[in-house]
Amino acid sequence: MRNDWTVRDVGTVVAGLIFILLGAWMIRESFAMSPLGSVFPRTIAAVMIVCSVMLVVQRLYRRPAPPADENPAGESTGRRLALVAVMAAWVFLLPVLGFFTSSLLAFLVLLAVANYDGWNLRRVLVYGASAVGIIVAFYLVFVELLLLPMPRGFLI
Amino acid sequence: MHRFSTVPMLFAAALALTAGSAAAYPDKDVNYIIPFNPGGESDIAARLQQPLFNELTGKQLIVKYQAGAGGAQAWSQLNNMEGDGHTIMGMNLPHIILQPMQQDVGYKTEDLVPVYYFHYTPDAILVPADSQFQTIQDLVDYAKQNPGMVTFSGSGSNSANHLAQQRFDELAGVTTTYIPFGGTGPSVTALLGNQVMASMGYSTVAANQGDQVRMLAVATDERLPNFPDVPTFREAGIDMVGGAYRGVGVPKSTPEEVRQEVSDVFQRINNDPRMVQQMEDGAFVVIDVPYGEVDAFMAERAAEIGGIAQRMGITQN
Amino acid sequence: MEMLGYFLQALTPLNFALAVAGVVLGTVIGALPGLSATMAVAVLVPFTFGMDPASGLIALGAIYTGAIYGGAFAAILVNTPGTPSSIATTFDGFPMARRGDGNLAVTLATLASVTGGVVGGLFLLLVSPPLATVALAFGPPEYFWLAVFGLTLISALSVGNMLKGLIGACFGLFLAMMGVAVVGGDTRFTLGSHLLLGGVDVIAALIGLYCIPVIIDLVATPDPHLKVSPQGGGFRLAEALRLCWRGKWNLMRSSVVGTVVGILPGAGGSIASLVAYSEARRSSRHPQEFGKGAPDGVLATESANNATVGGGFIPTLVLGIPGTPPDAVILGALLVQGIRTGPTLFTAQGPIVYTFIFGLLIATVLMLPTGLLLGRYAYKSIIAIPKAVLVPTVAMLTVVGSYAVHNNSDDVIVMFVLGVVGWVLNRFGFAPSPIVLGLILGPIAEQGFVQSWLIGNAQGNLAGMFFGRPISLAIVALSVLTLFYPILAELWRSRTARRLEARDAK
Repeated sequence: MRNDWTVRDVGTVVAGLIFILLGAWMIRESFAMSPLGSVFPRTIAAVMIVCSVMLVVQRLYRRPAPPADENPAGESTGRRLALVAVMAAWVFLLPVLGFFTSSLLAFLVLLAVANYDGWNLRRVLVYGASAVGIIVAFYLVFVELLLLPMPRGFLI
Repeated sequence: MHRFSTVPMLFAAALALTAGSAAAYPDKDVNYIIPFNPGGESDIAARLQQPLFNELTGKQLIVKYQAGAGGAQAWSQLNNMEGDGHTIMGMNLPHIILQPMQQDVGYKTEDLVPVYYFHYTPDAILVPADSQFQTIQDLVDYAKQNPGMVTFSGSGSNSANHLAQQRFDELAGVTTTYIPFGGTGPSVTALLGNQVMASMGYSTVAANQGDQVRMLAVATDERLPNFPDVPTFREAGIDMVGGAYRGVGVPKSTPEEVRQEVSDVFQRINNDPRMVQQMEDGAFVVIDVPYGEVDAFMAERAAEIGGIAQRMGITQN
Repeated sequence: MEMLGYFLQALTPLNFALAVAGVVLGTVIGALPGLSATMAVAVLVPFTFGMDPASGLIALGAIYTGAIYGGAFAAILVNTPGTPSSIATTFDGFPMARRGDGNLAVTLATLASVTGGVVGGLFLLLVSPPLATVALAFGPPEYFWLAVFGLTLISALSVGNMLKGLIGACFGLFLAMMGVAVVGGDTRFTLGSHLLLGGVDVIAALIGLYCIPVIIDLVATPDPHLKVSPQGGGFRLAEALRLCWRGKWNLMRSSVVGTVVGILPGAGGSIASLVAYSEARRSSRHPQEFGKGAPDGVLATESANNATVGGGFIPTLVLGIPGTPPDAVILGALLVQGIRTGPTLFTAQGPIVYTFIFGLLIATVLMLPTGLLLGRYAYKSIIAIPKAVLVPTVAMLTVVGSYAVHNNSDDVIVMFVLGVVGWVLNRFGFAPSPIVLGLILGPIAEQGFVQSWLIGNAQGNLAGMFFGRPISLAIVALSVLTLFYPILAELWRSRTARRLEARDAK
């Protein structure tokens, strides 16, 4: 065992183990299926398990690659997490708040998350206006032109 | 063309007058959701209804496709849609009876509100034009001598085609092999390419493929007007009548009078002489089941389909 | 002479205007992930009822071909295939855009799309009936082996990381198995929820796996999304034409591959462009440049996917079997117009069919000017939009696009979850492309396998079914070649090198 592992190596092993578990679960599930429907899942699960075991073994015994820069300076994990959180909220609130409201809220928060240039009044106005403009344009194209029934909420 | 078009227009005008101005259905374009991919019989029927709908009502019928899980994905969502008559969805039998019997598909048969059934496509056995089977009797004889050797292509497992093949086996006393394909298109392709010996499909396939295929028998009461030489299964001593029935339904929240109006519009489209002609050309069999009679019709079908499904052993609920 | 008449018929001002409008609309729709050619064509069918059949068909065909082309914009500029057909365009298109060659990549994609479209269209015009038999010669075993062949491309796509590529593909195959199975009718891996009954939608997965990682990484740094070209703006048309001339064999081969794969119902543009890509890479003198921004990669994928348009119409018109979903919609429109497809179509309905084919060719050529202008505009906007606005705009595209596929907010959740999973996996070296490949090829492989097995069993000739058919064997040979080519090429190179050394030593 070496202790000069990179994040990537640890991740690879963890991912490999997860895929082994997934394969095992697939095989367990396949016993409830008809013969026709279970052939393919079992074959794929077996291939997945074999490859994952090989991957894990390879990582455990192979000399680790020279450490690449894992998280180059200046990359903001905070903003990444913020983006994922905002999008998660957006996706789950879409049927509740409706398309227009949820999109406007998410758009404005994401503007803030993605902005590196600081804020002044002009920027607030320009970005705010473009947010409304882009959402209205999308709404019109989808609802009026393509006649897609977008989810509605209590505002619109 | 001109001779025909004035009749329904007058008819429509008369109806509009009698109905009064209170209910002006439809007052905007209507979304017509087909729970399958484009190209199937449901799609073709919708496309044929489209221009007549426009002519009768002055509004467009907008065909949308929402395929998934053999239609179950769309049907399970129908009741979440707006119930004002401007969102309607294709309804297919045996699908909406069979699917909830097999597993939890997100809807129950009795949750759906079909308002009109317009036609059915009778089950039919088809072979390639150069097949050794000239008659249905040839095929039955061969299947008796070689159990399991006859391969039937069809659309999907536990589907209308699969059901028909099982019924055929049961009634004719033979054993055949059913090969499920991803839709009518791939199933017919396999037939034309001689990958299978025969296909359990619908009469519409014979109308579309012309002399590339031969229809051996059709599951109707009487021979189809367009195929006077093709016998019915009954003539061959196999008591099979039926197929896939198609209609339209609305979300459950749709008020009674709107349900009736949707039914009326589709009844008028269906009775239009041009529609009748197009249906006959395409080998569809026109039926006329308006909103008032839908419940009885569904009960009859449910009894019929439920029995076979039970014998096939595909029911779980 | 007759042909000239049909050609002029297709060139009437109305038809020409319809072709221009169709191409522009199609390109825009194709460029937006989630909006598909099928959707655009389906919505617009009723408007064609008032037109005469040929005009209506030209409008629909133009939208279709434009949409397949438009998918390249999103692939090159945002690393998100606008349609499944342009998955492989991301491999080299996006690296080109990142290093500042976005405008060159768009111009190359335009030239390649026009070439592919014209080649496919010419095949459709000249040799449709005999080529349609290809669709019939492909039975279940052939589709099975074709899918296996597609999966072997993973070895070419994930050099140096084959295990991770294979695991990714298995994960994609697993995703493909979710829902109700076509063969067998089992409900698999839905966790008891009916939300997954319909399975994981390819488009939603595509948007999630490619687009979400892009925006996650976009917010992490203040750097601009794309570098600005050192060569300045403009189309860089001369440079692109030079590259096309150098890659003329690549273009021709990819266009033919696209046409043939397009003929196979159910295969489609994504497989066509992947096959063309791997062939281009194999025959290239610099295979190591592929995946790092090789212009030849963009040429191969974009010519192949547009060639599938013409190819797909071959079985549609000759056999009445739609090659692709948009073909199926157009087939429905034909039926309403009173046109029955089939072997007699070309003789009985000659004027309409030939006018339509010429219209399609004209629309394809029109992609050149319209595509260059639209592409330049798209490129400039992507560069000009400040990052703070670009991130939420792309995020919104992912939400709206995945919703629009089935008008279903469950698909949005699937898209987002897969996107986050894809980002994490990508950090650990599992690229998104093998996953998507597995997702697309899974159903083809499984259905082909089970059908072949059932038929072989019924005939008592299981081995013959899988290994006794000439086309199958050819595909098997190709798969083996693809799988082992990198190793063989290495062996061969070192052997010649040794022989040369030996000769020099003498």
